Amino acid sequence: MRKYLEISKVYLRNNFAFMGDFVLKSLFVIVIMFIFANLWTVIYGGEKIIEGFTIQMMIWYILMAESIITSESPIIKDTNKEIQNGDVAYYLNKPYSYIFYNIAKAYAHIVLAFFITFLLGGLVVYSLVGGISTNPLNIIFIIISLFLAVTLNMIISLFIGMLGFWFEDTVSLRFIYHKLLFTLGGMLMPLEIFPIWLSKIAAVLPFSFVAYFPSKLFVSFNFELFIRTTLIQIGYIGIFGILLYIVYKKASRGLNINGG
Amino acid sequence: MAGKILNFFKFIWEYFKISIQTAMEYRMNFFSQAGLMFMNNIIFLVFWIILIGKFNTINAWGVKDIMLLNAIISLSWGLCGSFFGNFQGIAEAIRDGQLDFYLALPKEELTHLLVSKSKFSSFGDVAFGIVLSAIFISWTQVPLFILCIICSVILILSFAITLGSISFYLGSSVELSNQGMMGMLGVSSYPIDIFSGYTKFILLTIIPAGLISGVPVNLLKQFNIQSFFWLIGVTTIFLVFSIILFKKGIKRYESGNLINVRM
Repeated sequence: MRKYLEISKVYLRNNFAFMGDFVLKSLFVIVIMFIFANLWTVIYGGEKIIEGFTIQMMIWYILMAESIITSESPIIKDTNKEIQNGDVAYYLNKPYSYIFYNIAKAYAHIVLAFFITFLLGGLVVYSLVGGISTNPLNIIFIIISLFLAVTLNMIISLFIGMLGFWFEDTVSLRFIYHKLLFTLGGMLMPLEIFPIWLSKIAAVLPFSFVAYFPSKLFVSFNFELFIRTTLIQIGYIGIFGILLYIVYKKASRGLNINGG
Repeated sequence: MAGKILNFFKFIWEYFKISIQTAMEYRMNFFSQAGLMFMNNIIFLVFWIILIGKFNTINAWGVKDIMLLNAIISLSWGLCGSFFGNFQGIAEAIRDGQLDFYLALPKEELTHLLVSKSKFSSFGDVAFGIVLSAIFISWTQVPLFILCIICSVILILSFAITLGSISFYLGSSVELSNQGMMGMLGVSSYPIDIFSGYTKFILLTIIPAGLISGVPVNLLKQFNIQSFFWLIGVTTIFLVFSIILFKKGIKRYESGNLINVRM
C-alpha cells in the first residue's frame, strides 16, 4: 500500500509542474458552465423550483458532475497505448501490480484536475447564479461518495483499457462509455428531468453512481441516500474490480518478455 | 480570375479524392469512426429531445429549431473536417516547423495546409447533418440553407486560421487554439437566444459562434434582410482578417531543423 502511495505522490509532484496545462484544460468546463447557466436561467424563467432543484442547485449539480467526469485521468488511452506498443510487458517484472500502479497514477491526476476544475468552475458559477447552502458536517460524507465515484469510474476505465488485449483499439469503447456517462450517468442534466421510465433504468446502472448520485448528494444531502449510494458504489467497484482482475490475469498469462 | 477559382476548387477536390481512397483503404476504421460520430450526435439529440419534451420550448426554440441547429452545426463542422481536416492543426504545424513542406511547393500554402488532412469522424457528422436536413428542410429553404452552411464553414475556418496564426506571433497557440475551437463548438451547439446583452453581442461579432448556427436557424425560421447581410458581412470580414493575419504571420515564420515525414 505504501509503495502505491509513493507512486501517487511522485505523479502528483510531477503534475504540479504542468499546472498551467491543468488550468487551460479546465477552461472548457468554464465555457460549458457559462452556457448551462444561461440555458437553465432561460428554462427556469419565473419558476423557483423544477423537480426539486432550484436554479442554484441545478447549476452546482452540473458543475459537480462535469468536474467528476472531466477530471478523469487518460487511463484508457494510456493503457491502450501500453498494450499496443508492448510496454505493458515491462511492468510484469516490477515489484508492483500493473493495475494498482495505474490506479495510484490516476488518483494523482484526478485530485489535481478535480480541484482546479471545481474551483475555477465554482467561481464562474458563483458569479452567475450564486452559492448553495451545505451543512459543513455533510462535507465528509460527500467526499466519501466522490472518492467512490472517481474510483468506480477509474476501475471501469481500466477494465475498458484492458480489453485492448483483445480489441486492438479501445478508443471506440471509450467513446461509447463517455456518452453513457454524459446521458444515462446524468452529467448533462439530473435524472429527474428524464421521462420516468428512463430515469428508473438510469438510476440502477453504474454510470449514474459516477455522476448523478454524488452530485445529487452535493446539492441536496440526505443520509439515507448517502448510505444507499455508497453501498451500491462499493458493490459496483467490487464487480468491476473482479472483472478487471480476471481480464488482466487472463491477458498477462499470454505476455512474454524477450530481451531487455 | 475564373480560372484561378476553378483551379482552387479542383485542388481541394483532388485532395478530397485522395482522402476517400485512404478511407477505403482503412474502411473498418473509417466506418467505425464515422459511425461513432453519428451515434455521438444522436446522443446529444436525445439530450435536446428530453429537454424540449419536458419544457416544450426554450426561449421560443422548439423541436424543429433544435433539429435545424444540429443539422447546421453537424454539416458545417463535418464539411470542415472532411475537406479541410487540418483546420485545427494550424498552430501545431507552425510551432513544430511543419510549414516548410507547404512553402516549398507551388500551391498556395494556407489552402494546402488545410486540405492536407481529412478526419474520418467528420464524415459521420456530414451524414448526420444530411439526414436531419432531409427531414427538416423544405425544398424552398434549400438555397438559403446552402448559403448558411457555406457561411458557417467559412466562419469556422476563419476562426481556426485566426487562432492558429497567433502561433506566428506568440511562438505557440496550440492550447489556446484547442480550447478556443472547443469553446466555439460548445457555444454554437446551443440556441443563440439563451444568451442576451453583451454576451449575445460578442457571439455575433468578435467570437462568431452565434453566426455559425443561431443566426442561420433564425433566418430559416423567419427571413430577415438585416440579419442576412450581417451574416454575409461578418463572414467576409472574418475571412479576409484571418487570411491577412496568416499571410503577415508567415513572414515571421522561422523554419526549424525538425525532420518531418508525411505518410
